[in-house]
Amino acid sequence: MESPIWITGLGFVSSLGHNVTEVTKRLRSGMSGIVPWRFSEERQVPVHLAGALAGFDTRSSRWSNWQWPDTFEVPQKLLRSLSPQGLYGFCALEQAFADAEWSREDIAAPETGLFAGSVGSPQMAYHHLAQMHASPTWAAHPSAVISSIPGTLNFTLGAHFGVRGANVGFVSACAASAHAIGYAFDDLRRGRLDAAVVIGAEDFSAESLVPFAGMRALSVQKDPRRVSPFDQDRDGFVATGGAVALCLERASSARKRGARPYAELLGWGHSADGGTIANPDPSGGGLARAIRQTLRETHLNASDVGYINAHATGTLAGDRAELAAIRSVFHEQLDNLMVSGTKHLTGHGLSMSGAFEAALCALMIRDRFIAGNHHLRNPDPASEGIHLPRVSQEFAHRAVLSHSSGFGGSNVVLAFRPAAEQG
Amino acid sequence: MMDLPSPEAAIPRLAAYGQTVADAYRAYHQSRNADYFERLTDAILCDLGQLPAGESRVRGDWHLQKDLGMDSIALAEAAFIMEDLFAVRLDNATLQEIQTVTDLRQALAHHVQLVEPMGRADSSS
Repeated sequence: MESPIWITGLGFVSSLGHNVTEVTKRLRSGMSGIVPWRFSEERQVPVHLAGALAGFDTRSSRWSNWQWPDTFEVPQKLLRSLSPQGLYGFCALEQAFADAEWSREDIAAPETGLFAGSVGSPQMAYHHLAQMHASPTWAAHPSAVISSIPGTLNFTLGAHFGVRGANVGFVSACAASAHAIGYAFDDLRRGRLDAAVVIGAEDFSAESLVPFAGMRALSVQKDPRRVSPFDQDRDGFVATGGAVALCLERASSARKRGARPYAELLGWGHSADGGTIANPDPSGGGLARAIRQTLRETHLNASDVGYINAHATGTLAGDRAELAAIRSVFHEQLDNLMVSGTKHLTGHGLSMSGAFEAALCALMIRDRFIAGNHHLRNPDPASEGIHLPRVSQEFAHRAVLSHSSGFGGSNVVLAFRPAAEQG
Repeated sequence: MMDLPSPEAAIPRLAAYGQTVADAYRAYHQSRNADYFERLTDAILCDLGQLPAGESRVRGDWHLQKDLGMDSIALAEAAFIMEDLFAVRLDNATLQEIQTVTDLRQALAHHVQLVEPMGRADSSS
């Protein structure tokens, strides 16, 4: 029998905190990481809230001006080639490796891979290209390419940690790091790798986040408590950045090391809507196919799923499509299913969100609770019959799904359950 | 020969480097002295590379990659900043032939007018 795949280490640089303990506490208590935020002191930016990263300041495009909490020791040589997300990613990876008790030799073993989800760094691209255009000879800084293009996260950090098994990046927008987890799972299952670390990261920068206001996708609320997906008054998402890392390995080898699991990663599925770039299929048909594929792949019945961590960004089209997908797959089991989103507390981490929410699911499974939809006041009528708990609660977990959807109608569903040891 | 950027213009561009580099540039700009030229290039190499354990000064015969641990991007960055500070241009063919600290100093010195010939600091190492 195949050995289960366990999540044995987590690392966070996030709006909810920069370590497992703080993130768990805030997730359980519904303490939002979204704060009043001004992306510019001079301009009237129509964005008033963000999931800010306490203790980090990476607004400058010069790494020498960056600040980070002194709990992290970041090598100067590494910083030169990093984007902000690379700095957060390094801090998250260091935590995850320590949490999983992976040695430097384990990380650099030929059977250990790194899978990243990111979209690159618009902030660094803008900075370096402006500098190049200002030069009479179009001289570009040698780090211009490596600190900015999609892939900056995996090639800077993979090289730094000496990763040898695989070093790959995924760019499917808000599904990117969920895809990274899925393909890491496949490589572990096929025996190509013995261990994999997944990292999702996104710059917390005006260049990455404010352009979403141009798409009218960002909330214009000023009060974090008014950020509420699935509510009739929702008006878009609040953006965040940061990095989340997950260590994955086979239960057989984790047991030998005496490692404790957060949860088992059971499998995954994906699909695409085949429609417009930014709007999901209103019927939720694409996401529903990804959910059904996940159930088939993991040999689960719909009735086995007790909790769904919804994508729930808070855009009208996204919320409606997701509710329709849940209804179409679970219509007869809705009474036995709880659904909540966590972006009303964290902000939407875009390419990072799949890894972020997978990690939050792992925490909820380990500590036997589910997060509530804390800010929900007037549920969208489209949610009728779907249980949207208002507050966090103790929960006896069975199977858990986490949804991610990105541009191009890309849908990813990850499935988890308590590891056998957790009973 | 192009004028060197003034310290006021250059120092902000040196923000990513250590204070030693900024101080060395100020001293070099004022004196155009060979000793300060070497201190400046050494400061940049120490910042972009790493001095071997137990060493406190850069030696001319050191290999940039093997001894100072500079990868190709660090070498390109050294060229990028030195071209800027010394107002010179190192073409790709010259850059590819640079192996040691002395190779780099000589490639630069070829373009840079120093008050006295280079080599004094190197002879002590």
